[in-house]
Amino acid sequence: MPHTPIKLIAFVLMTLLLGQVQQPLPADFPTLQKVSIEELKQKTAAHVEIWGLDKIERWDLSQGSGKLVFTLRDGLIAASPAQIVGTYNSEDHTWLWAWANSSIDTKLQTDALKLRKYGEEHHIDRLTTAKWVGTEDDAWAMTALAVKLCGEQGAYRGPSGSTYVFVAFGEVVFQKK
Amino acid sequence: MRLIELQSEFNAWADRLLTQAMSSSVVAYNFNLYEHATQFAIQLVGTRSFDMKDQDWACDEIFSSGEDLFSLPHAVVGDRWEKGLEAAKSLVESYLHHGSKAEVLKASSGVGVGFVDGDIEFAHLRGSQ
Repeated sequence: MPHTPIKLIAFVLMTLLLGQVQQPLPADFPTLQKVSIEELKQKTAAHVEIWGLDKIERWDLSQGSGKLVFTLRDGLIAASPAQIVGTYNSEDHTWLWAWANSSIDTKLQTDALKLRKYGEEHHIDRLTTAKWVGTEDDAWAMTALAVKLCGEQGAYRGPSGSTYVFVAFGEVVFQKK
Repeated sequence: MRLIELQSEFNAWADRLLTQAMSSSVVAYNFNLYEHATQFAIQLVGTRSFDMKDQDWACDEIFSSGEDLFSLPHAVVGDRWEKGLEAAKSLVESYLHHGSKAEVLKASSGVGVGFVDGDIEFAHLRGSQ
């Protein structure tokens, strides 16, 4: 199937901006977190610049298809495979891992489970404790780690009432409405 | 009869109910599941609130299909509750993709599926910036 111009341009730009040389993971966890957060900031800036992640009108997450779909104001639709990393409750300031949330389908817990395994192997309590008190920045740090360790392309925080759903997403495919 | 053959009946049932349920005050929808002697039954409720951290949102009903239940016979889906949940999720997910009133569900903050005495699984979540 031929690429439409919008798909082709976006694909080329995303490849250039998000393509990174795979380097060994930092041995210590604080450095790994710092690198992950920095990389996520760069990826987010690229998504904002290329297709307007900051200009979305609505987002839809289907557990059946595992797809996160962004609808932009100009009718552009950006869809990508997604994983729920966890949720952050802004009322009691708690983070809950997706693997501990019975409302989340197991196929959307894969990245979160990978982080738990990493935490078990490296004895990192925050990755293996189902729920803990922290800041929203801590929630972003966990999400950035998922993007880094699971090779995702970006992340999004979907507001849902007083709870924020932190989602890591993969390759984005574009379509005009 | 197989599950796939129940899909068109489920779609017609959901179409009819969602036409009645369309109300700007419905914030989220839940497909309640009940276990009966020879079947599972699905009830659709519309709620005035939605809360990812507290499943009680599904009790905050402003619309209910009441006794207008959709039947999932054990003879078709099996009699284990896991099979009933799996079948219900499959019907709802397919409806979300192809149902003629799917946008009514998708325009809400969340769509859940689950047994009334168990956990609710999200079939769809939606938000705006």
